Amino acid sequence: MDLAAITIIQVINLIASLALLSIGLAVIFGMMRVINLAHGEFLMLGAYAVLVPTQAGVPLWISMFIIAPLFVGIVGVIIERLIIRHLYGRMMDTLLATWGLSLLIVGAMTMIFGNTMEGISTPFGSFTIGSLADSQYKFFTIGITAVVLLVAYIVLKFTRFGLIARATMQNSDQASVLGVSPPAVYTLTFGIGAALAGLAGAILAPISGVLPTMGAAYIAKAFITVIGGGEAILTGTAAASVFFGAINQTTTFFTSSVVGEVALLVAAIILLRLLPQGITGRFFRRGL
Amino acid sequence: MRGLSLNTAGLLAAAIISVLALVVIPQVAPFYILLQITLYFSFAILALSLAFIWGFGGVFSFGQAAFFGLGGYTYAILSINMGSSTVPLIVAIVLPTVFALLLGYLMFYGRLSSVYLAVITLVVTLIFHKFLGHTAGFEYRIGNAHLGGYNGIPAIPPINVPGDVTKFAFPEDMFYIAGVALVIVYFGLRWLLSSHFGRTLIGIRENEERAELLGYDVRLYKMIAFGIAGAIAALGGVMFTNWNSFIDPHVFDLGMSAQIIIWVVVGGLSTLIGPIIGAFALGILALELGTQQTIDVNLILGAILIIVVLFVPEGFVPTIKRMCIWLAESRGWLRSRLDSSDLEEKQGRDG
Amino acid sequence: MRRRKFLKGAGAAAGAAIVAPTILSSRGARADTIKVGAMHDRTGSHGIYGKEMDDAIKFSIDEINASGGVLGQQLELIAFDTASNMQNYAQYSQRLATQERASVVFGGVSSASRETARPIFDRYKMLYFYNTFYEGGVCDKTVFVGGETPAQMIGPALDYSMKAFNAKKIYTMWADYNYGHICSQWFKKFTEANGGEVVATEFYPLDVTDFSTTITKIQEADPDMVMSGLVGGAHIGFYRQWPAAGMLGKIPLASTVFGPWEKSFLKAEEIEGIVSSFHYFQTMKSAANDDFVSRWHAKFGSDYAELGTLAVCTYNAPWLWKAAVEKAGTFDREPVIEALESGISVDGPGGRVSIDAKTHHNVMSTAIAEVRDGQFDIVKTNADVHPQDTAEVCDLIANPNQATQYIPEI
Repeated sequence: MDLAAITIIQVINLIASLALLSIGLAVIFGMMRVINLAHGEFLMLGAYAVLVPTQAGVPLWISMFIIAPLFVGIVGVIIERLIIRHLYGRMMDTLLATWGLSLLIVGAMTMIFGNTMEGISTPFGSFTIGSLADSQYKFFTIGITAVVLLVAYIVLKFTRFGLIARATMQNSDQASVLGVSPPAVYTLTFGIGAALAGLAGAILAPISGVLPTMGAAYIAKAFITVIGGGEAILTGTAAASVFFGAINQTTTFFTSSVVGEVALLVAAIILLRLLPQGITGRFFRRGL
Repeated sequence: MRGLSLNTAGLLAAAIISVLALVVIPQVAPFYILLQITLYFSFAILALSLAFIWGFGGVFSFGQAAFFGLGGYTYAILSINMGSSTVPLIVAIVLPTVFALLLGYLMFYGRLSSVYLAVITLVVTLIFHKFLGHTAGFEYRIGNAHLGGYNGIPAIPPINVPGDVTKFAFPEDMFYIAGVALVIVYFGLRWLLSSHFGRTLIGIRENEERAELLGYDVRLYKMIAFGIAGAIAALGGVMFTNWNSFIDPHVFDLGMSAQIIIWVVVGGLSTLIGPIIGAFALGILALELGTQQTIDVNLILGAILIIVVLFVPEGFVPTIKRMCIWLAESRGWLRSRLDSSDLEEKQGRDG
Repeated sequence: MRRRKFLKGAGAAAGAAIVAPTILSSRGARADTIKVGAMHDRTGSHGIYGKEMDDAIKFSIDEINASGGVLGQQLELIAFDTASNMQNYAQYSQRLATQERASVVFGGVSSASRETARPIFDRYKMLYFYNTFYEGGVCDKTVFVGGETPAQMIGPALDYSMKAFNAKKIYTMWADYNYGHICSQWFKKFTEANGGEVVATEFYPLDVTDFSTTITKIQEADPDMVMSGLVGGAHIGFYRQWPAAGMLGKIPLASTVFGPWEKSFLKAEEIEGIVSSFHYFQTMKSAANDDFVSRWHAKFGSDYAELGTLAVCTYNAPWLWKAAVEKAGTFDREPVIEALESGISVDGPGGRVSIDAKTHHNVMSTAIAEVRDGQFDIVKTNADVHPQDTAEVCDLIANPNQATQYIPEI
């Protein structure tokens, strides 16, 4: 029983982390049709944006919830203005440019910070169920993910920005005829996507080793989750995270972590073959 | 065709350059340079496989590295077990081709859109990477060949004269073998693209619906093209494996897959010579950057990629070619052929 | 029959070196500086290990030059950043062998990188030093190993920790490549010899970052001790998630890899009590070490990260080579190998290291350390530990024509 309870918590935690790691990529892909291959590096920047201020004495929560998203968001806005803006509608070119960006950011961070840097330990301590212990931080990750998804839902559904964003998503020409300025919306969207990646990286920082190459371990998973989810940002990411997260974690538990990873990849191929438009291309079509 | 068209001139020039390169370079270049050129020959073949399927077939494949690596591994495993290289060589190209056809069947008959195609090919490559990286255990053994996980397979027997294992290729012989392979692939693709099949393929790239309405089975054409690209990539993989008698799972990693794309994009997407130049130029650049330690290699490669995408979106070869033609025309050297060169230019970009 | 045929072919392939002599004949006879090669991963996934090795080789060659060079000649170091990419290892090895014609090459970080470079140096008859602690078993006439083997690290540390923690049931986890697989075999052998039992052997791909399932599995198994052979940046997550789950101090943790490199990412309270064993720790108390560290800081700055055994083994290797060259009176490979086999030794920052002629490995002292308040606290030192694992199978004096790596048979 203890084992079952802990395992369920771990599965939910993995699903939540997957959703959190992917949501920034999903926002940018869903609204702008841009596949941001520098997403892993945005996560990494977020992690550094927690580490550096915290070590300078800034309280952890301020760096995690304010500095990291803000900093990466600003980086996102600058990148959008300088590079992405010129490549709209050329999906492959944006993919290549953001991949170049990913290399460039890794290189720059290696030059600035080197390969080693003391991290921050995981806050909160542990909990026990029967004889088994695990980290309380898992509940924190799950909670934050729930809040992020909820806020995103409210913003998209009930605010003026959400309305404009959805309109631009569905038909940018018509939206601009109605007086909306798509460039401004795109800049803001890219910034928000980057900020979400920064936040995810910040949440990741206290449970991993922070180094310039860390993004590579996450990009493929986030990429597959977003594409597997399809066009609807929130429902797609959530559904795909549940699907892939459950498959990965259960297989890992019963076999080994390699089989877990391979199972996730095979599931992705089968999913895309059966549902070429992603999960939300067939189900939850009216989701956000 | 009046006189010497640009295409024919280009063909002649390419033929002369290839023969000269294969004859002259070994006479003048030091041994080390020959070894490096041999490596870039194998990469150039790989670049051509993507140039063909993406630039002319309109199918963006993130997974040419999968066929490249599969070819290399197949050759390694079979040649270690069989000693002689003849059968391994054939199987190492046939097997990835069959695999590419199957994968192509899955994707094209499932009518997946281009982004999803890219994802599936990437995922397939990553599965190979994960699986082969996982084979360090002693139980992963195929006959005499231990797959070796991330350490890869060393001491792979070299290519030998069919039927006589004592006559095998020394590293400097690989220069000729890989070079001739590249020349064959290059001219083979030129021929293929000017054939009925190639022109139909380009037609499909330009307008899939129209081609379908004209009665062409688009899915079949794409699947066959994908199979051909897989075969070319596998040939490159065999050459790569022979270059250093060695293969490891890095051929399947994300960096390798992306590197191929950079070669093609920087060189020029809808050309054949561009990707070859791209493979050489960026390979040498990355290697030379590793000899200095002031600026990180990744930073420079990343910057180059961004700059090319933003400012030279067609790649260097088509851009330079266009500039040359423009220059020639504005000076009046090419005036008499204005019409035909316009046509050729368009054809050059299409095929 | 087929097999014999193949062996013949392979023998002939080894003869590919026929081309080498004509190219390399002028080596050692040219110019007034002697070229020395180095290849280390300053960047990429193994950058956390490779940086101090690269700095160490530069430091070592600089000091040798400052002390008058070798046989009166100055050394010219050609150092490459291999960026954790095996293809770079292949290309730079070829370059050092056929273009630069280096007299000796120091380098390689992961086992994969060594196995990429080794056949190339065999083919072109190059003297090669590999200075990383590794899975043992390399038996190659032209290769010298400056790092520790499992018998030198795992053996003594296991002995110590099984006694200290009264451990019988041991749970083991390893990086999923040759290092992990071969070490796990040695580990099993040593554990059983000590009357213990390995209850689990798990392997993790190098890019795994989430270890919660493992931590739960460990608690289910309830071992007396956990042994970690995890490697690289992504695996650091384990050392962070283990205390986060409240496991630190509940089950003792030992490691075959955990050194200053991993430690620099972690907080003191996350790693309290971890046991590891190497030839060198910066916290060792000795005049030689104090002097070494202050010289190092004078060159690279006093804020340089804590040094580990990788830096010191890499630093020692050129001195061993220098001693052998001077004994042989020439830079030529074969006399130098002969001299190296004649019992060359140097006194390095971690104590005396001498070359074992039969295995081409180093006989050296090893220390066992336990992390206390974020520092490696030396709890035990063993003098003159032999690479027993490799010595059991490898004898390059009796059978010099070997270029292989033995793996343990269990």
